[in-house]
Formats: sequence, C-alpha cells, structure tokens
Amino acid sequence: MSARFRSHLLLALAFAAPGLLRAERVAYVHATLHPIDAPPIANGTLIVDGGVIAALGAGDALATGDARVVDLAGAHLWPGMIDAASNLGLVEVSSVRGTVDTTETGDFHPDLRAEVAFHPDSRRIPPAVGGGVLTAHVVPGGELFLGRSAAMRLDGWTWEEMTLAAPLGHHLAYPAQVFRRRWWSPPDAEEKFEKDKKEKPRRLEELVAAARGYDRARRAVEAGAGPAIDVDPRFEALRPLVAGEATLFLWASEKTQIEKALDWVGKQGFLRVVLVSGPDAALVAERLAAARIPVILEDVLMVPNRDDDPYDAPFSAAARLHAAGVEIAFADGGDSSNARNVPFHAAMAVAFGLPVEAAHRALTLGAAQILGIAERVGSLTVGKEATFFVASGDPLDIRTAIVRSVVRGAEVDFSRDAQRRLWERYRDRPAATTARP
Amino acid sequence: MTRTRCLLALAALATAAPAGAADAVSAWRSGQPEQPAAVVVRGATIWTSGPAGVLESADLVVRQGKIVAVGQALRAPACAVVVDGSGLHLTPGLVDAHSHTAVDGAVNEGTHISTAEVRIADVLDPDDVGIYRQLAGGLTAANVLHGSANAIGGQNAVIKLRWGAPAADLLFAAAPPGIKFALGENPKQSNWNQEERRYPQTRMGVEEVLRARFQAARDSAREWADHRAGKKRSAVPPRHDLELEALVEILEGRRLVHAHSYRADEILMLLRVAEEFGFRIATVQHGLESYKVADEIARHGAGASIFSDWWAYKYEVIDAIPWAAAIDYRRGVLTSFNSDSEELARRLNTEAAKAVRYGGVPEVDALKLVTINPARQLRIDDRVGSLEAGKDADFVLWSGHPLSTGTVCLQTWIDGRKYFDREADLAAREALAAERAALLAKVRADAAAEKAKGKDDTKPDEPAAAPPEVTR
Amino acid sequence: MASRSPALAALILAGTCPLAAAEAPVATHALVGARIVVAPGRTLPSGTVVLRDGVIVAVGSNVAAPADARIWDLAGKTLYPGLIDAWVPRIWPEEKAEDAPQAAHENTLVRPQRSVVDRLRDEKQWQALRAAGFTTALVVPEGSVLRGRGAVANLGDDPRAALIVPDAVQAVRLAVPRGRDGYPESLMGVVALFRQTMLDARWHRQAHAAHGADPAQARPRFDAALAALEPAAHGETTVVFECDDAIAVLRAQRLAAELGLRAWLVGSGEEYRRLAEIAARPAQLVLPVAFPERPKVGDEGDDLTVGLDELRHWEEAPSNPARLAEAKLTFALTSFRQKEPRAIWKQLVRAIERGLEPDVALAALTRTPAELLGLSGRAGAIEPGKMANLVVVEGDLLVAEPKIEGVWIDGAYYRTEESGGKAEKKEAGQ
Repeated sequence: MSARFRSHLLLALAFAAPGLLRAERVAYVHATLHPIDAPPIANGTLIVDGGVIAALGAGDALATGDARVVDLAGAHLWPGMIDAASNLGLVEVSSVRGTVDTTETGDFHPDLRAEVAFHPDSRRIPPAVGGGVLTAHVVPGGELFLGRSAAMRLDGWTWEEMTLAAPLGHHLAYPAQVFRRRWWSPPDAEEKFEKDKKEKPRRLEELVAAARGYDRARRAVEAGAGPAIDVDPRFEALRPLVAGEATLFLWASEKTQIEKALDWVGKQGFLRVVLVSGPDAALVAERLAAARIPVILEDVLMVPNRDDDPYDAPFSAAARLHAAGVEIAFADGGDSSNARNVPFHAAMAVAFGLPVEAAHRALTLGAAQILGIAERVGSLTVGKEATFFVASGDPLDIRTAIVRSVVRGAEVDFSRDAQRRLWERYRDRPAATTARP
Repeated sequence: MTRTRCLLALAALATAAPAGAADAVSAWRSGQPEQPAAVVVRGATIWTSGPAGVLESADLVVRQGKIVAVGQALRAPACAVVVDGSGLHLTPGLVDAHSHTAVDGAVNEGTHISTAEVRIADVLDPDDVGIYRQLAGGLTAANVLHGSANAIGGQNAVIKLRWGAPAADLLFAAAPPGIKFALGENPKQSNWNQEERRYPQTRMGVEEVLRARFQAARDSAREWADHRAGKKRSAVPPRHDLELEALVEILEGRRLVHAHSYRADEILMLLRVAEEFGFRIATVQHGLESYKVADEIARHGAGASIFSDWWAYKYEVIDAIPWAAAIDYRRGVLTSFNSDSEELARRLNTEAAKAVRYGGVPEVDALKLVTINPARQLRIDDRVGSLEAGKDADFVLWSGHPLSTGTVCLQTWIDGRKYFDREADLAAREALAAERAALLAKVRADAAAEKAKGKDDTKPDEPAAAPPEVTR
Repeated sequence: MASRSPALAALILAGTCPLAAAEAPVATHALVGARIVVAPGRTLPSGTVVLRDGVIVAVGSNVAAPADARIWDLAGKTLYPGLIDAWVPRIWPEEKAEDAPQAAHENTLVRPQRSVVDRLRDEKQWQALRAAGFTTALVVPEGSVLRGRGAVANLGDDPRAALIVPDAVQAVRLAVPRGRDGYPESLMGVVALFRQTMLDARWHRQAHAAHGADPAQARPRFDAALAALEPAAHGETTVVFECDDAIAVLRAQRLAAELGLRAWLVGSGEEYRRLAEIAARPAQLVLPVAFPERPKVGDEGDDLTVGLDELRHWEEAPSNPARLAEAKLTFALTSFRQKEPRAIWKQLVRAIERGLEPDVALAALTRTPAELLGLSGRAGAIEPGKMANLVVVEGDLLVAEPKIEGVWIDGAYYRTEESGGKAEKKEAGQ
C-alpha cells in the first residue's frame, strides 16, 4: 500500500471518528424502522449519538434517556440511499462549460481525484438529499483511465468533511467493440472507430505493462534495492491497482465489450472488479456470478441497446442478474440533477421481476458493500453513521413523501434547496393584477 | 346491437384476411390488429379521467372501435371479446403532447429562423420501433413536433400509435393542425455554432422576428384578399407562399401554436404578441418557469405542457422545479406532462405520479396530466383522453394502480384494436429468437457455399470476368 | 448511311473507334441462323433478321438475306431485343458558387433547367451498359433534388445520333444530399422545397400569361428553372422520383397525387414491405434488382450486431420482383444500384428462382420500358419497323453469367470484349 493511499485512507477515517463533530443525542421514536440487515421494526426507536447510530429497537424495549425526542408519528425510517455511479458535484449546468468538471481530455488520468472537484454547495445536491439519496459515488468521466472515485456524504461544509471514503478505486472505460452510427456521427466515424478498436486495447496493454514495471522499480527504490527514479503521479496512482490492493471499476455496456473486458481483466490479478454497465450485463450474468463480479447498473430507465432487443430488456436486467446471483446497485442514469430518482430505477426493476427486498438492499447495503463502504453506511446498524431519511412509505413509490433527511446525525435543512424556496415563493404569489384578458 | 349484426360481423372476420399479430421488430411485418365488433372489459378499476371519476369493479363496453358505455355491471353483446379486468386497472390511452418519435430524418430544419412551410406529416416514419415501445408503456396518441432550432418551426402531426400502419394511417385525421415555435437559447443557438452567428442572438431579437413574420403574414393575407376582390392593380396573381400561408392560418385561429419556452419573461412576451395579433397560444411547451406566470397563462387561455422534474441542463432551466405542475394546476392552467423523449414517453403514467409527490395534486387529477389534459391541449378531447361513451376506444389495461412504479402495462388498445399485449409479446420472443437463429444459419450456409465455389467471401461479390474494355 | 461515314472515318483516324475490326460502310446486314427471341414468349428456333439503315426490316425463319446485305453467321447464337435501362444517372459536376445561374432559382437543389443532353454520354458507363446487353437508356442528371431533364438515348458512339427523346422526364430525388450545408438540411425541408417549387412553377406560367395578355403592368420575374419545370408542374411531362426505401415510394405517390403530377417511381427493393399500400395508388415502377450483400455475421455465435430487420431484408429482397408481379404491378427493371450493370444477371437469376417469371423479367427489360418511355413502336421487340437494337448471346440471356458477345445499336455492331486487358496487351506486343 502506498504512503499516499494510506494517508488518504487515514484522512477519510479521521472524519468518521465518533464524537469529533456531532455531540447531540437524539431519539427518533414511533417509526417503522427498516434496518435492511434485519427485519423491519414496527413502532421502533432509533437513537443517534455523536453522529452515529447508538441503538435501535422496538419502542417499548429501548429507553430514550436524556436524548432529545423526535416523534415520527408512524412514519418509515430508512437508511440513506446510495447513488452508485454519479457526477454529482462535478457539474452544475450541463450546457455551461464553466460549470462542468466531469471529463478531462486525454485517456490516461488514473491520478485524478473526484473529491477535490466536488462542489459542496452544488444546487444539485439538496434535491437529492430531499429525495433520500444521502451518499453518492462520484466518478470522473472520460476515456480509458478515468481516474479515482470517491464516496461522498451529501451534507457537510467542505469536500474534506463530505468525503466518506476515497479513493474507492480506479475506473477504466474498456474500449468499445461495436460501431454505432449516430445522426451526429461525421462521415469518417466508422473508419476512425475501426482504427481505435485496434489501437486502444494495445494502448491499454502498454499502459498496464508500464504501470507494473514502474511499481516494481519503485518497490526496489523503497526497499533500497534499486536506483532512485522520477515519481510519475499517474503511474504512482496505479500502483495499488497493479499490486492487487485496489478495486477496479470496469465500464463496459455492450455485450462484446463486456466479454472482452472480462477476458482482459481475468488475466490482470486486480484485487476486486466491479462492472459498471447496462442491460447487456444480464446477457453474461452467469459468467459474472461465477467470477463474483458485482454490477452497478448505470441506468435502468433507458431504451434498449438494439432495435431487436425486447422492449423491457433494460427494465428486467436487474432481475436477471439477481436471479443468477450477481450483486447489484443502482445509479442516476447519467443525470445527477435527478439523483433523487435513483429509487425509481430500482422500482422499475421491481416492476419487471426484481424482488422488492432485493431492490431495497441494492439501494442501500448492497451498494455500500459493492463500494466498500458498508462499515460506515448502508443499514441501520449500531456503530454506523446516522445517515437516514424518514418517509411516508416505501421510497420505491413515487407518491411517497420524504419528510426528513439526516446525514451523520445532522438534520438537513430542506429550505437550503433552492427548488423548494422557489416553490414556496411562487405558490404564495398573490393573484396577478396586471394580467390582461 | 342485434345478434344478427353480431354474427354478420363475426362472419366477416372469418372470411377476411387473417389479422396480423404485432411484430416487435418490423412494423411492416405487423398486420393491423383486427377490430372485433364488440369488446368488453369486465371488473376493472376504471380511471375515466372524466366526470364519472374512478369506478371500482367496473366495465367498459366497446363497439366497432368506439366506447359505448362505462359503468358497473354493464350488458355487452354476446359476441363481444371479453377482457377480464378483475384486479386490474383501466385508464384512457395516454397522450404525449411533445414527441419527436416516428420522424424520418432530422427533426429540425435548423437553417432559417422561420420554417413554417415544413411539415412533419411529410416525413412520418412508421417503422420507428419507438412507436411499439411507447405502446408498451400505454401511449396511444402523440403530438409529433418539429424541433426547437427556430423561432418559428414546422407544422406538427398528431398521430395515433398504430404500429404496423403506413405513415398516412398514423395520422390522427381529426386533430386540428398545429405548429411549433421556440423561444430562448435554442433558436438563439446559444449552445452551439459559435463561429457563424445567426440572427437573432437575443430574446429581444426573437420577439422582433415574430412580429416581423406576423406582419408579413398580415400583408400577404391582405394581398390575396385584394386579388380575389379584383382590387389589385395587377392581374398577375400573388405567389403561394407556404411559409406565410401557415402563419396566416395562425392569425386566423386555424393553426395551434405549441411554443417551446422556458423563462417567464419570454413566455409573457409570446402571450402579449399573440394577443396583439389577435390569436391565442395553444400551449407553452416545457414552460418550466410557467409557474411564475401561471395567472397570466391561465387568463390568456394557453395550456402548459411541461416536464415533471428535468432541470439544470441549460441555464434557462435553472429555476425549473418539480412543483411547477402543482402550482400551474392550482392556478387554473390546463397542465400536462410530456416527454420530449422516446424513452420517457414509455413512462408517462409514473411521471404523472410526480405531481402527487411534489405538491400533493390528487391522484385523479394527476392522471389527467397525461390523459384528458393533453387531449384538450391538442383539441382532440372530443375523441380521446377519457373513457366516456362516444369517444374512441383508446384504453390501457394495467397490472395495478396506474401511478404506482410497480405497475406494468398489460394491453394497449387503439380504435378498439389491441395494438400491444404483453403476454403476446413475451410469447413471441422465442419465435423471434428462432427466426434470428435460422436466418443466421442461412447466411452462414450461403457464405460456406460460396467459399466452396472457390471464391473469397470476404470481398464483395464480383462478376466472374473482368469488366469489358475497349478494343482498339 | 452516308452521314455516318465521315464521323466514323474521323473516329477511326483518331484511333478511338470502339468498333471491332475494320468496319466497312455497309447499310444492310443479315443476321442468319440464330435463335431469335422476338419478344418474351415468342421465339423462333432458327431464323434471319435483316437490318437496313439502322432499322429492322425483316424477321423470320424463311427470310432470305437481301443481295446487298453483309451476312453474319449466327449459328449457335441467340438474338434478343436490345435491352432498355429505364434509369441511368449521369454524374453531374458540383455547382461552384461562381457558376450559379443568375436567372434561375437561387437554391442549388433546384435545377430542373439542367438537361442531360449537355453531358449525355459517359464512355465508360455506356460500355459497361452495352456489355450487359443494354442498347437504350433513360439517362438522367444526378445531384440536387430537382435534378433536371433526362433523355432517352441509344447507347451508341455519337451523342447526336444516339439521342432519341431529349427532355423526356424531370428527375427528382427527395433526399438531403450528403454534406449539405444551407436550406434545406432536413428531409422535411427538401419536401417543403419541392412542394413550394412546384407551386412556384405553376405561378410562373400564370403570372407570365397574365402579363403577356396585358403588358401594361408590373412584369413578373423570369426564372429559367421555373420555366423548365412548368410542363411537369402541370402534369404535362413525367416526373420520376428516385426512392431510397418503401416509405419514400409512398411519400412520392402522395405528393404526386397532392400536386397533380404524372409520376413514375424508381424503387428501392423494399417494395415488398408495403405492397398493398403501393398498389393502392397509381404505381409506375422502375425496379432495381441490387439485392443486399450478405450481412457479416462471423462464423459462429451471435454478437447481436446485425439486426433482425436487416437479416429479414437480406432474405426477402430477391423475392421483391416476384411479389410485385404477383400483386399485378407492372415494372421495368434497371441496372441502377448495381456496382456495375453486368451484375444484374446474377441478381435476376435469383429473382427468377424466387418466382419471377422469366418472360416477365425479359419484358421488364424490353417491352415494358419501351412503353414507359414512349418507344413501343420503335423498341422492345425484334420486329420490322423497330430500331436495329439487338443483343447477341451465346446461349441464354437469363443466366447468372450470360455470354453476351455484343450488341447492335442503330444498325451498328458493338462487340463486347472479355478480359479486355489481355487483348490490349496482345495487340501492343505485336
């Protein structure tokens, strides 16, 4: 493990230390608790202390003591939902270039850190929080080596505070294998594609080989067994990956692309591989299950990849993966302005075959496990961060109202959401007097 | 209906060519589904989107493609095709007031600032698989629009999603004609084309364009009137100008304006220009700041056809809020949710649910945002949008509550013909897969046969001999 | 033919004469001992055809060769009527901005005033057509939307001699040219432009007539493009729509009906998809038989890249002509869309295997296009009075690789050279 990686990990853990920030003790009572790692608790009590879940149980079995009591009057309390792949915080208004930090130029930036460009006061965050999505896996975009992602708490004063864990892993966009002509494709697009199809895998091999060589040389330096060499931050960042100590998030969405990516990754010896994909992942479900590779479904609410694909292929992919034994998580479909709709991707998967409990789990604990943050979030468990929301019912139903969100024990003030403020202002606009018939 | 008529109708069906089952891949392979003489859906929860509201354990009776009755314990002709609706929900076919599906070629004629002469109806593409996919989401009618590249765009085409029909038969013949306008960043080309700046580059310029074109239309109408009355000095007739003629239709209230717009100020500008020229805007499309000027829109008489929760993709939508529908609705604006997306068009029922979540619109009224309201906006509500006697039998059978995310569309009927049936779609998949496998095998056999004949089959077919040359 | 000889002499002197061997200025030829396919369904097992002055004067099994005739021994050969290709696009140079016509339509896609007569003959193209057995063609300008006027011509050497009917049709293709910049850039824009231009052509005639009747008023503008389009806009001349798919055929039919045009349609091979709808309206079709190439699907497995619809089209396309014939639609066939005209024979054989009657196929290359082009009295069969256009074949014509020895055009023989390169080399080495 590199010194740099170690220091990042320490930084992330430091802010998790209980008692450092939120000293208040609060008891949430008369709620139906949905721990996820245990059956629901009717008329339950959840006690938060110092930003962490201190206790939970049936109401009559748990004393609230000196805690401030919040009566939830029968509402439902769920662990915060997790957007498992997002550019939240990296973009404000998609068409305004100055606000877009999602995608660097070039194809080799394994050292990028998503968390440093995360805008804590992004106007896109409060709607997500108001929708019960309280943690986001923020990923840089681009080509080939995209950089390193971070799990971000969606409330806090600085990106440092909001970084739950970083780096979560390296992201690799595997080269596309099938050309698809779009209406905006220039005339030479296919030719260029065929060229890239040969070049890019070669480049990938070269870069990884170079990274392995670099790691070996640096180890020699560190062991005093070799001459000093210049430190290249990009190859330095890759060292944990090639040393088998880090996770690779592999982005591949088309069947042949996934298969080739899996072929390649099988020879690399990375610690863990997570596939970030779409409906075609279901076409290789058995192989994924056998290789114990989880899948983050980038998008459920999308049109099928091909004209021939069954109309519900993207909707039923989660169910097929789950039935084959593949762990899954859901994401915002590439639109972080509506991260609040992540549960509705899961809901559509339920409509087309995914068991409801599997959906709830995929949105919370399942995602946390895939991302490697399950010790901190994902369920109502003693010792985990008190990150949860309160709703009138099941978050999979659009009609459910979310009335309260808590991140690390701190209640989020919904009035910080500019959208809500506009609603209240214009809802209360007096009847217009200047309108002419 | 008498038993005799029923039997005759059945007999006619028996001798007619076999009706085609829907083919999920090729429209041209899908025959038009048969229209049974009578259909009855029994025992469903019926969301009429009409005065009758929601009826429990109710029936819908259809004859020759028209609804004849909705209610409890209805009588139906003996020959009626019976659909068991027990435990299921029935709604009117959903209507999408902003679609670009089924267009052959570019959706924008993005060159001139006014292209009122172009017509979507000229380029309808019945082979677009989007039609089938949207049927599978309960959509039965759509307002297919020109894009938003120009201040004055092209003429629309309101269609019914009759998968398998040729282009001419997609058209909803009774729908009044309409046209697309666009305000804001898109006609200003603010987000592309930085080198060649096309006029106008400001919202003020957009108003200037509208006034100039409407004035030109007025002048043209006067010229024609003078010519017909023999008042002109010249016997040479005026030229038919298709762009101006479309604009004249707008001024005379014979063509509905659907105006893509976002900012409250530009919406207000358009309403006032229309009022000055003596007509009304039919709908403000997208209108994500409509909630700020809801009273003005309501008093003008325009409708608002908006997104539920999209925002932050352009600067002009920075103030878009998901509560917009609730505000518009409460202030008396005729409001609908549209898709502007072949993806979202499949899910308008759950989009409607967002009006419940954001602002507490009652469920019955929320569903209207995607049924009778868009129908009224398109002036086709005498035919579709609600389940009432006399209207077209366009209806959808759902596995559960139409606003629930757990619900699946089971059947979609248009004109009393079943265009989508999930069971049939699932059952047909094996046959499609087998057909595909058989065709692949044929292709490979063909390739092998050619190889056997000694030719290299990776090269394109060449004639056996070299092309002929000149002899000298 | 005295008038021909000087031109011929000039060509021989220039060293570019395409005629085989030294050609003497003989006016009468007797083609003796051939099997004669007079017309589809009418074959003489053995007979003689007499040509004089470019016209067929006698055909029969008992016809004697005239005294002045050069005798051609065609024992073992078969004669067919010269084939007619009803759609031969002629490449047109791109219009440079400085060459834009000043007194004609400002949109470069509106060029109905062009006449293919100005660039009628493409040596290589016509040789390739002759090698496939074609003797006559409707040649049309390519490029733009309203492309200009096509002409009917025999595929001989001298353009002026070849020309039969100049300005026979108006050629149209409702599609956006590749790389188009400027209005219109969309298909619906192209259709709108077409519609508006047709209305403008009608207005042009009305306006100038009104002005002509009373010149004491404001003079309307004269537009050479609109003037050229007037006959077509009034249904007096035929408009031919080149269609890229079945929907384009239906679109063209609708527009023709809307605008009162007399129209033919050059098809795409997809007509089988919308047969009933096409047959419901007047449908004068010119049909290509360029069936799709075999999709690339690899040796095994299924990478899903080739769609089912594409596979279906590959399977159905060769049946297209037979299906049209079944639906009682008459059509002419064309070599259009083939990589080169000779490839048509392989495709036709496939179409025949799929149910197209051989006689219907032959008619679609002879009698039907002759009628379409207004040449029924003069072409489409080996009969006295018709132009001396014939195909000389060793064996049958309707086979995958017919041995077309040569064609007669206007009474002159053009020998097809196989492996021309070899022959050329041999002569050079002598």
